[in-house]
Amino acid sequence: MGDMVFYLFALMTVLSGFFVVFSKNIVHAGFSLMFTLFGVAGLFAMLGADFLAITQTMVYIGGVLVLVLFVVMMTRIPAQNLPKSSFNRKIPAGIFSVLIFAIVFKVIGGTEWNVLPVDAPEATISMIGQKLLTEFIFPFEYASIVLLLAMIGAAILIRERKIDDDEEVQS
Amino acid sequence: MEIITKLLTETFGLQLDNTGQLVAGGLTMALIMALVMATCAIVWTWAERKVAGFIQSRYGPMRVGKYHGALQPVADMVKILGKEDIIPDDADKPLFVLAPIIIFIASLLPWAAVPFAPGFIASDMDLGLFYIFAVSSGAIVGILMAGWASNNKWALYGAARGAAQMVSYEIPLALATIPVVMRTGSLNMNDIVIGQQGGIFHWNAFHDPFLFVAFMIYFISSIAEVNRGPFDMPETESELVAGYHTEYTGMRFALFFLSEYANLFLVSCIATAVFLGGWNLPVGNAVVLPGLVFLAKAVLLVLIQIWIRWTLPRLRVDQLMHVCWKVLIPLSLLCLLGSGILLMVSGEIAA
Amino acid sequence: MVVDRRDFSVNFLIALLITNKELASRKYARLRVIYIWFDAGEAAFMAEQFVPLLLVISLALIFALLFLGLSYWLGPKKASKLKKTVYECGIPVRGGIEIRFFIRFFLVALLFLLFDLEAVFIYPWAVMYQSMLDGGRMIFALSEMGVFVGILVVGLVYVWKKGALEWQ
Repeated sequence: MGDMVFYLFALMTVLSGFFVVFSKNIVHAGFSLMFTLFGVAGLFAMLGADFLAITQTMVYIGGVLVLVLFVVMMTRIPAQNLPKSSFNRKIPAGIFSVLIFAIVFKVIGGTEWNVLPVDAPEATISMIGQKLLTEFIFPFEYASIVLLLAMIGAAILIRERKIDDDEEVQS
Repeated sequence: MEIITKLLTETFGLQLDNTGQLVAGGLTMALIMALVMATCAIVWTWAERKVAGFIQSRYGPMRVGKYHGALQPVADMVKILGKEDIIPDDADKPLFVLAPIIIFIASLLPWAAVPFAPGFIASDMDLGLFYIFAVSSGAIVGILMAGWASNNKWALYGAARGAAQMVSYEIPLALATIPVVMRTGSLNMNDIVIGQQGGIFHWNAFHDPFLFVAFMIYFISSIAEVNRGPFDMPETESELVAGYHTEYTGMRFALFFLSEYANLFLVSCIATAVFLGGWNLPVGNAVVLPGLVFLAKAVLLVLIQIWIRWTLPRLRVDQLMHVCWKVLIPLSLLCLLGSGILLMVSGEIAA
Repeated sequence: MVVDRRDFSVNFLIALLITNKELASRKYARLRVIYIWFDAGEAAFMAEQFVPLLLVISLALIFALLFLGLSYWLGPKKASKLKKTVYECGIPVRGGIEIRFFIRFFLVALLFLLFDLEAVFIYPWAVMYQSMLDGGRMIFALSEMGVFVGILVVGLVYVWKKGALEWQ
């Protein structure tokens, strides 16, 4: 049964991922992303990474996906106005895709996987907490600075908008 | 979970291996959970109308059923099953069909980690509380999907407002529970309830002032999170017709409706488990009828939410955002700091 | 349930990935990745937490489809062109839904994402906070979180002062 569930999640992830890439309707692609993200969360859970699985659900489905959907809906372009990708563009795109796939495949395939039996952690979250308070204290604080920068970026985005409004009023 | 598996193996004499035990126990548990949720949601529709009626000096439903229209929700369910299912021609059909199902699943999933009584929990997760917040955010995507698929301006506006409101208020909701997690040292819902044993002053809400403020923040945000008055911006009937489910009819609409009431009950159940001592009695350590004690507390909270909805006028959108970002979030961060210092000081005194 | 990570599905994946072991050890010796598998008994612990969730999802799906199927079976089907138009207070629909969203919606979603991440970082810390007492490192733990939250509060104050939180 473990196998079946694994294949179910894997199939869901891959199929919805394909749909995201190949769908002509950008909103459908956005919503399809939900199934991709959920499938990945399921795979995390199957690997015993429960904290990661739930974080994936919370941050990606609850946060990133909502942001993406807002953007997609805000900049709504009717399907017939979408720029058609010509054959000339498809060739270099295809070559690059194959190249990237080859590199990734080579690196992953060429890695020596040291298969070690490890005890499954019973309480992942307290281990993560411990690590955050000791080994990874610098990356932890660094993360907050990254978040701060993103917040400043968001504020600037709004300010730009305000200037536009003023100009419209003046003209 | 253990109770159910025990019952299945001992009373009914089923011979089950590990997998069978897990699946059978889980399935029974999930089924019970779903039935409890559905029944409660249906009963709430009646309770809401009765309470609203009394607040507005009228009776509310009186005719169906002998006592005060007690069978009204059943009649409503039967009626709604026989209604025509209309999908507008301009709607985005696949998304239109999918949206209510996704919202329904997202409203049922968090129930798996609600501890009704000792051992009576579908999934005794380590990260129960975190999990509940994570999966209930799936409803936001469902709302956006419904609004978009309807191909109706009002539905789309309602969905955008609803999503913005829900994501905003999810932050104070999550931050308010952190002082509790600090005190308990666990995200497991069972552990959180057990940590509140020993009378009302051991309940998280009445343990110290910071936790009380955190409880208040949680309660206010939870009303906004389930889109109810005075925070029912996504459904303002005077400007947006009915919000994101304007185009939905019949059973599809009923799925939205059920999910809404299920969510209302869910946030109350979480408040009960996290802040109000779960199944613990106000005095003493004894565990008496834990399921009923739990439900009584949750029901009380739901009645307060209904009371608030029918008493207070609706906020404006800017006020809504003001309350969330400029009041509740800074306040919950202060609570976090205060609880941290308090725990440190009391720990040093004890040591 | 026994979920053995050494079972077919994972071995299949690994077999796909490891193409040439000799070559790998020579060329990519630096890129060592440890693949972890659990003993069967311990993996059951995870399964106990997550299998009920799968059951709840399937149950919810079955219920939803059952309700919808019942209503499809029982309900009338008398569609008319007018009935299938989009509702707009009874008048003919004007314009599509190419409405422009207020940019604040985008900002709110972005800010939510940042604070959500913050909460994700705080939860593991909060779980560990009490146990730091034993090591007498509570002040350290509190100040660490103080710095973390403090930096974010600076961001919030900045956004606030810039007027990005005004919904006008």
